[in-house]
Amino acid sequence: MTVSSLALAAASFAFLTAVAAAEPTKYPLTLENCGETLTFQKAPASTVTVGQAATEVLYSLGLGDKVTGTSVWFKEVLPEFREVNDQVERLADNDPSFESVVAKRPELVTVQFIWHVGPDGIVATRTQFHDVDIPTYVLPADCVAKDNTVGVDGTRSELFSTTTIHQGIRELAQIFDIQGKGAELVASLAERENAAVERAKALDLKGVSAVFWFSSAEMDIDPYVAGRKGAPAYMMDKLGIKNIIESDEEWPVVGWETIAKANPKLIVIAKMDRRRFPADDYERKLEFLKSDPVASQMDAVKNDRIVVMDAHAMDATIRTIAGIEVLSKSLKDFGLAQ
Amino acid sequence: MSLTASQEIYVSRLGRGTLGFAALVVAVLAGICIGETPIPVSIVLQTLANRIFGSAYVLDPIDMGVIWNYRLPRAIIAACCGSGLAISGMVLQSLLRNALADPYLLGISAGASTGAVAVTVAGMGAGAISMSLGAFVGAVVAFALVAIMARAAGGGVTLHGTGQIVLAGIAGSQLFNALTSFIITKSANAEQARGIMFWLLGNLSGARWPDVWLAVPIALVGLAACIWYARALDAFAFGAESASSLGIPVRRVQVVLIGFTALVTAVMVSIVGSIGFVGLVIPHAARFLVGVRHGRLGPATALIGAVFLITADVLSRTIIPGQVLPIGVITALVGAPAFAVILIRGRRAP
Amino acid sequence: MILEAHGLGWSVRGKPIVTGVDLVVNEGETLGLVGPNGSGKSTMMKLLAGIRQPTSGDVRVKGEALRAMPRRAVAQLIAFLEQQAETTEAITVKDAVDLGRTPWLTPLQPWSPKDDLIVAQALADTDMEGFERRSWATLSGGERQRVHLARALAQQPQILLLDEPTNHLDVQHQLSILDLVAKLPVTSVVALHDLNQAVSCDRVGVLSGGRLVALGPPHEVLTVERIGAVFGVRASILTDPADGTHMFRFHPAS
Repeated sequence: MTVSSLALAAASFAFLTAVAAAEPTKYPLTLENCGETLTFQKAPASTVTVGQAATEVLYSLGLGDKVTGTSVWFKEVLPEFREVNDQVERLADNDPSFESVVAKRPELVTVQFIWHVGPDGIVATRTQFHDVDIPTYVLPADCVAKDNTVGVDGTRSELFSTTTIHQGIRELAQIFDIQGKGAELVASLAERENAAVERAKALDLKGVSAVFWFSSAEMDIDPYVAGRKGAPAYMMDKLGIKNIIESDEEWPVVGWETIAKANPKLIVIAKMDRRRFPADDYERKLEFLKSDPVASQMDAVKNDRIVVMDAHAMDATIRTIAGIEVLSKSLKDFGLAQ
Repeated sequence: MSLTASQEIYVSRLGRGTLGFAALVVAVLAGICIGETPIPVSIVLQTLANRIFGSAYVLDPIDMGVIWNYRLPRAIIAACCGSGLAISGMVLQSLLRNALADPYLLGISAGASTGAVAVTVAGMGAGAISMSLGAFVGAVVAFALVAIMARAAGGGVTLHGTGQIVLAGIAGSQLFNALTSFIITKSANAEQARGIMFWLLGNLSGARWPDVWLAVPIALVGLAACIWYARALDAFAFGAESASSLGIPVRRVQVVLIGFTALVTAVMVSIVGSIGFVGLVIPHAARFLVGVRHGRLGPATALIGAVFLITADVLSRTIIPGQVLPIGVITALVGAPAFAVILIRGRRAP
Repeated sequence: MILEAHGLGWSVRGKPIVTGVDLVVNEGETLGLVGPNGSGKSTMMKLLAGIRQPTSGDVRVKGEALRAMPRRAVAQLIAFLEQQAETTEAITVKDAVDLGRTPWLTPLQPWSPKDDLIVAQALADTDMEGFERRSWATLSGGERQRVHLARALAQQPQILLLDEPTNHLDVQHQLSILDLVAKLPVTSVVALHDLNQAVSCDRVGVLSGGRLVALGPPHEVLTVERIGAVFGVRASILTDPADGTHMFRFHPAS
């Protein structure tokens, strides 16, 4: 059996399980979500989202008509959802107020990051929403095996996996009683991921290391880089790349001295719409890498092995799969095959 | 041949000066040798030989770069900031006759942060003014506000008004830190609070040679101003009126020296963020060692401040392996207990 | 006519503290200023020293307006001994007296052995020899006062302005300091509390409610009637059998 036929088998297996699960949801539906027990008497008629990833998952499930308000945007909505999104009110670019969410009388609030609705939630706590009979669903990618009380962006106890993204899709599909659609989406994401992984495996990589540079508070200062448990770490793990960073934090601050001495084979830099820091601009990141007297000496810079990746793909979102594809393609383009 | 008394004094001063300079050199060397990653001392020395004496040791360019372009400027910047902040604290303590005066405590650092953030993050001045200038304006505005508040509260520069200026400084710091957070939060997209802490706790990791060319002259200018005005500062020992009767143009000296203090603090803050307690604690340590005469106290304060901050920076990189602590945490860990000691001693004083 | 004031006035928040004082101090004399609490003595001294700017009128030194002179030039002519000048600095007696040389030094004209001699003389004159290394905090009130005076002397002024210099002093030092001031070849203006000490001045000025109500030789100015009017006490004059000088004894007015 060849590698690609194995992948095909895996994909068809995923598809089969998807079809098997595609039956109507039985209400009342009870499920555990990030430490809270949720019960639904029926599929929610409307939902407000806090977090772009949550919004985009719902759009992917074809639930655009159920979304009555969105908030916490990092960048432009994916082009395929632009039309749907134009019909939906944007409550806030950033954090919405509790009242603006409640005013929409949603039957569900779908949340990307726990810190918006956790015990110190800046929008409100989950209890506050539950007190007014609005259930909250937090995407499992931000709470499964993750301690959000440690580190600035939380700390994972286990390596992130796209299975938590799949879980979120399946559970939302279950809540909204569209399990067939959910299974289909999971299967297609799994198939894309497997294909990208197989392409990388075919390169027979050896000793490839990388660092993911998100941004820096100041151009020359120690940068925020991907830790060894988040979505970027998962991408590297799947594609057979060694992450030079050894911190469990989601986005630890690591000195350029450490990075340069580890001398990674490739550098992935985040491209984002945010412009809080000069280094948010990927062009400025490139400029730094080429001009800094030390960073410019790294193999990855000298050989121009720099990957520009959508920053939202580096968070645990459905875009993570696109990130895996980009990285896998770059490995081939850079001629890192043995 | 025996030495006359004044020659003896000269010799002992020379000896102490040499000792101090040696301590600074040792601290800088430690700053270059100890870093996030282990680099053998022999490579450090070979790098220095290559860069300074034009030797031709064959070295890994990354090792060489780390030593020459990261660690050395970082140590020099730490020295400049340490001495600049310590000198600023000393000048404020003498001018305001307040043992607790310090650029951090009086809100100057917070104002400088706000100014710098207003320029970089909120884009005030539309690129026409530099971050250092923004920091300077912020520093001056903050200090003016704190001084006005203290004066309105009946404080001012009298011995009895010591409490008011510190209280006003705390209020000012809170206000300007809140403004900094406000500017950052307001102009940011939805994203977590990454990086805000930089301005509030200080960070030396961005130190590079271009910063050195700014920090060194400013630190030297600060030191020179304080040596030039050493006698004027001495004359403030019994208060502003006493200084005036000793021939000091009090208002002008206050304006000039506070201006220098604001400038030095602002430039240092624009390079490394605000680092607390250096300006508060170091001058007291220096007084303990060399007495209250500013002719000696100024250079001693500058030197101890420089050595202290290099040491704090080395500690911040090594105290927890594999992790860099914000340097403000180290200075606060040393400074807060020292602050308590100053408070208690001040209470005991007659 | 070394020091003169014309129409001198100073008010704070509209409340006059010193009003319309005309005063001429002659070279070499010792002028005593007396007056009850709140009569404006200390303010008057600060105005004469130029460390407070008058709100009306002006002060002239050797014919030159004080406010137009650089502080340094003023300090080379006038030394001022404040009331209650305190410090929390850990300074020594020598440090404090050295400060008196401040107006004569510049960064380019530093301390010289000559300055050491002047400071040593000032310490000797005020009976503070041997105290050089003592720290300020360990001194008694009287010792601090003498150090302040030594600092003023180290300034080598032509005019000495002393605001209640005998405060905190024991009897012996009260007398020796007044005697020293009288013997110094300088012009002095001394604000005094004790009318009996004022008697030994060359001239006496009486301040009341911020106005100079009398000025002249002690025996002309310090009359029983004026003391009654200004200080609100009944005075009787006694004659010291030792040297025949007059002195006052006070009784409550009634």
